[in-house]
Amino acid sequence: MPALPRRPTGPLLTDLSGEEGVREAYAAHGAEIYRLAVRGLGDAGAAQDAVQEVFLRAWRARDRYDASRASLRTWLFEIARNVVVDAQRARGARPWLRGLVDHRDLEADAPGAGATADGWEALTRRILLEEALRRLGDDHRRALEETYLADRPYPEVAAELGVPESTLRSRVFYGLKALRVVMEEMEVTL
Amino acid sequence: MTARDPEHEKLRTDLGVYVLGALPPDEAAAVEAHLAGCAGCRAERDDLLPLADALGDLRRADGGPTRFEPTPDGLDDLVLARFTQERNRERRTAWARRTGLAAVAGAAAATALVVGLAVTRDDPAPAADPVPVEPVSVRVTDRTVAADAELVNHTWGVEVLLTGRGFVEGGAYEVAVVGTDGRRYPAGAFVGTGDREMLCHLNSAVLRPDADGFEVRDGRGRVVVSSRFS
Ligand SMILES: [Zn+2]
Repeated sequence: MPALPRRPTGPLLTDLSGEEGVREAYAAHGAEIYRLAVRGLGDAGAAQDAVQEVFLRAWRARDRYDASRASLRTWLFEIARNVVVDAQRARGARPWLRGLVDHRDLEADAPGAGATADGWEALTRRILLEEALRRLGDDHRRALEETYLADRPYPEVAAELGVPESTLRSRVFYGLKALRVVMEEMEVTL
Repeated sequence: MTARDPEHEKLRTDLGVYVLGALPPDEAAAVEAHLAGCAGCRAERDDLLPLADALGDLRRADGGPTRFEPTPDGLDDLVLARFTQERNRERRTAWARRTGLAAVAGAAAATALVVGLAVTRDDPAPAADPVPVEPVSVRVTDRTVAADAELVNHTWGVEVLLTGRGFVEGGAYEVAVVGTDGRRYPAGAFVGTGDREMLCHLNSAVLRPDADGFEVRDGRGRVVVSSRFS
């Protein structure tokens, strides 16, 4: 199997007091937070504002961040949730989950605060899984996307990729295993 | 059947398609029969199942290939610019708080290097600045105001140390350093303290050789204090 893409994970950065710290935190988590905001707000422009606000609030609250209690990602995601909720309120829109891709499911569940929290949980899990998929090698990622996420027949996908079906099956297997490793690297528990 | 057995290897790699529920029924039956007698493959399957669950959740939510919204170019710059602006604002606010001032005008926030500190003359002397200061003459156009100024030649730009009294209590004043090119460069802002004497550190990004003078303007844009450097 191809080598897993390795990203420098290193020790979690906790010093947000200076420009360098903010820059590094953005480099590590900015893309994820942007996607969270886009899904949460359903608007790329509002999402960009939200991302700026997240890092600003993180910087303001930097003294309250405790690396022994939560990863920087977890903490930033919490802040992102508050920012998204505030942005929705400021818009005078319906509850924040309006812009969620799966808001229909959430609303069908229960429109209360609990459902909102669960909705955010689910959204967060999805964003992290997508980020993990993005970090896979092309062969693994495409195998999983085309067969499973797009729900297409294996022979069709194998033909399109120009490989035997057995190879495609093998890519699905090793792709899942690679996904597991990537999520461990990201410190995400399933 | 051993671990290196190609037939076993095929069964094992089929576990991926199996946990995703896409194995044809006859092959799935064969895999299940094998799982019943192979602890290694059962462990493998158990490792893969949570991923299948997570992917299933993703597929239900998105109903298709995942969308990786690319992060817009330049968002990193926006994040840093907001941060820099806010940090500068906070420094000005801290300065205003220390001097008991209500507010500080902040239009020039992003570009001004920001007032670092201001103390009243009655305070114990601040730590001596190791950088030599250069006295400059000032012209006061508001008769109620008295002011003196000195310059500090920093490597990052010239700092104006402005002492004075008679600036309208609570009134906002903007300070600009005038460059040798005739342009005005923001050097921060302060709020008047009335009869109390004040000392403001006003930092500009203009290097001393490129600085020709400074101006203090009141809220209506009138120059109340000005200086031409020699
Ligand atoms: Zn086996």
